[in-house]
Amino acid sequence: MKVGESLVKMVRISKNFGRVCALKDVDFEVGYREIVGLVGDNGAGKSTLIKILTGVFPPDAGEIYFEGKKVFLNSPKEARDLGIETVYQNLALIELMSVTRNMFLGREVVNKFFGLIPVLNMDKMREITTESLKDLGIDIRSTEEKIVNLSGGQRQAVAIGRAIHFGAKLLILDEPTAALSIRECHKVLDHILEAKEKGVSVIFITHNIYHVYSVADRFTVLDHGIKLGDFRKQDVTAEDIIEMVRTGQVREGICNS
Amino acid sequence: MRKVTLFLMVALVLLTVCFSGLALGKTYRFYVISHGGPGDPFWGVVMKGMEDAAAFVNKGNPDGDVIEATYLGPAKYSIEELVNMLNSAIATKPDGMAVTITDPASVEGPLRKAIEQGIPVIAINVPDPRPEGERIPYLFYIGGDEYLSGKKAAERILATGKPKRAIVTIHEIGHIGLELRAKGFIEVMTANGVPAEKLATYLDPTQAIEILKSYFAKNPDTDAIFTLGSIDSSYVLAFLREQGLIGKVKHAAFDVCDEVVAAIKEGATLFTISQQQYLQGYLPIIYLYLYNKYRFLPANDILTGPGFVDASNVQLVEELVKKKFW
Amino acid sequence: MESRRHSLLFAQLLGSIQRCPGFEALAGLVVLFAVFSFTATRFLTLESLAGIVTVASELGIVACGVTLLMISGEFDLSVGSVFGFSAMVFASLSNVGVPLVIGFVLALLVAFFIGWTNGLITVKFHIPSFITTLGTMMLWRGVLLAWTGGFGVRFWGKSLFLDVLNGQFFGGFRASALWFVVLVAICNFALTRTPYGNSVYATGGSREAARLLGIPVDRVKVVNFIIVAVLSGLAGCVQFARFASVDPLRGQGMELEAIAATVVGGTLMSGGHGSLVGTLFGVLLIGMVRSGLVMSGAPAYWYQAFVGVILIIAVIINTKLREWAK
Repeated sequence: MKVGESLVKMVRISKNFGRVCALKDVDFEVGYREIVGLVGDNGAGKSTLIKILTGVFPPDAGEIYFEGKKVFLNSPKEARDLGIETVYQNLALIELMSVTRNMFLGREVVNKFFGLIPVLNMDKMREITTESLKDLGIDIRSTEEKIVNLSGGQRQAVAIGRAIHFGAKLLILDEPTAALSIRECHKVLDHILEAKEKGVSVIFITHNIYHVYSVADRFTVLDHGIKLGDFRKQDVTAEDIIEMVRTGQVREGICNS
Repeated sequence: MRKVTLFLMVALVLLTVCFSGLALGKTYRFYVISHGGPGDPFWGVVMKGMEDAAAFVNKGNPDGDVIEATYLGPAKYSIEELVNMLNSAIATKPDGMAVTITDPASVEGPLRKAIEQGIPVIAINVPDPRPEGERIPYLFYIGGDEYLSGKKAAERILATGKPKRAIVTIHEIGHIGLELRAKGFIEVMTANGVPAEKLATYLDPTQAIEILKSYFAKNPDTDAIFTLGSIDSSYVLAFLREQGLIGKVKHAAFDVCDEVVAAIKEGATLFTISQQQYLQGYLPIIYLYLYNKYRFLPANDILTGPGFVDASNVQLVEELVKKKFW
Repeated sequence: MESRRHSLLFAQLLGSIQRCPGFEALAGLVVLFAVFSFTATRFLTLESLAGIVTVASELGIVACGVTLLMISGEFDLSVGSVFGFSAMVFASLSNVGVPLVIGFVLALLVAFFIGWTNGLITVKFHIPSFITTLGTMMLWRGVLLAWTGGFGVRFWGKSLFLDVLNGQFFGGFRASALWFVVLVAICNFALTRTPYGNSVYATGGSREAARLLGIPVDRVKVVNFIIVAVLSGLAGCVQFARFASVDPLRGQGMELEAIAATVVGGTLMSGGHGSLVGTLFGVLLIGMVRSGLVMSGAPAYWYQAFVGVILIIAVIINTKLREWAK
């Protein structure tokens, strides 16, 4: 593990839904400027772990530390306020609204009319959106374009761009490359590396091991609610990971960090 | 896609051209506006009266005059719609209007304005109850006398024997005409020592029968029912049949329709009061035409009711109901 | 050279018309206007237009609220009942001598309370708003009928306050038109130019995504339920000011007309997209259809059918134009 404190440290997290055990004693860490691939088959507990980390619901047992301090996340807003941004598949953006409005949703730039009534400063927001998207190398025709008219790759780009602009410290991506064309996949992976350049850590959840392998520094593999292990990129191949996910077992000889 | 839109636009134009019509010679446009419409067979008779009168005047008219008569009435009782239709009709500056004064306060504004503009207005079916000088200054009233009808109905029932308890079903609460009928009836009954009350039964038959069941369960001595329109006559008769109360409960009705006529023949219903609403559609057209052309004006209201249909004339009336005259 | 410049200008004009919110509804409105000016007698007079605007304004005030709520993804079927109930509160209080301004405020408070409960029940118990408000529609209408016993309330006095609410000024136009336009402007501003408006679009566009982004979706919905109820109450009081009377059946059926006007105006029933300007046109369209049919002499039996057909055609034109614009 890296020297020094981690950005996120989840210790002995457990969660049950009725009689189903979703997570049992899972430790999970993400370091600064680190891309971690969170993998596992369906039902492994990946989304549950992430939902706990983003404040959707609390764990039944265990603790969460963010930037070295213990935190209790009671709502998605609290997680967002800490700097944890999530890009959910299909749930990151509002389709019928423009790029600008999506960018600033919940964090609008306003002027106060008569000191009381908040009025959107659309010009400023458009300006900032255009600039920050350009800054990240994201190419959108117009910021007034509705999200529904953008391609899958462009949507991911906007969502990632938004997270980075608002100073996210941790970016969680849920299946960011699903249903994208090859060229768009690579663009999105480039954006993810850009994010790391800008000092953001990333948790990359996916079924496509090859995609995550190309950008991640480390992998955490879950299986049926327990952690199989943490593996550094230099210690495993993509095929190794695929096999672990498939069999639920760590093969002899693989270094579990 | 362009073709479909074009087709629809053409269809729309055709539809409207269809009833805008073309006429030659002096045309008189009359509107008959009421609070009731296509849903109620009662008003169907008024409409026929109106159409027949217009046809009568138009056929072989020596001066080539043509009457264009339009009937307006909301599908469901609604004062708002009545007033809105009234306003639209007045804006076309018709040559005459026949209007039901169902809610004087609401129609007062538009009607006074219309009368000031010189549009002849005849009140039908429901008059303005205020004394002359205060009331809306329409020419005169053609219709029944509701209060009188209610009183006479009670008198007729009492003539056949004093009931133990009587009810009046009311299907449109707040409708001033119905309320007056009920008032006349209850007053006479009460004056003669018979407990009598109003029962709100509304328009839906299923709901009404449930309401009747509950009432009769609580008041099993009820033996006289006065229904105020075809709608409640229909479900009350169904109720009485269902409960085997035909003959045990005296039924008097208001308005004429197939069912009630059959019930009178059968003996299930004692009589029904008719306000002879055919005349409420027919006469206004004739009088408006005569007023427009020759300025003839009757000196008093014309009472088309109460008229009675009972065992003595039901045969004839039955024939005429089928032809929508009664 | 000249023609090229002209066609460029034309394309620019067309482009800016397209970008106008609700332009599709405007097209339908213009087409109908053209048709009625041929088929309806004296359609192009000030009086006729005033009549259309009066009907449209009362419906429009309600439709503003319905639009905001629909954009946030919910429906309110109780608007007609709130309309009638508030109006009756206002009328009753005025008649017992309570100063009109106070009666008005109390009537709006009652509406506020009803809207609030609509919202709370819908979000706290996760019941589809369609069902919740179907229930409250019947509840408050029932309470109104029980409270009044079916009787209406008349107000015979004159009052400055009532004139402010809905007095007449030139040509038959009423103050309600002003209130309507002002409300459209305010609601439009709130919807397109404030963070609240942004959250309304987000909540309707994708409730889950909005919630995950920290938008208080439940609160947004409850606020909109309150707004639509208060606006319905306001409209009811405005109508009372016009008629100087209220009956317990006022506002019945208004919910569907308000929803129709909103949809004709381009707002999606699935939420997330819509405009108040479109609703303005939609409401004018409905007012125009009703008036135009009366003034064209549409036969009573077919009246409702024509209204239905025209509405469907209007929405089709509307949808086709939106596709063409894309």
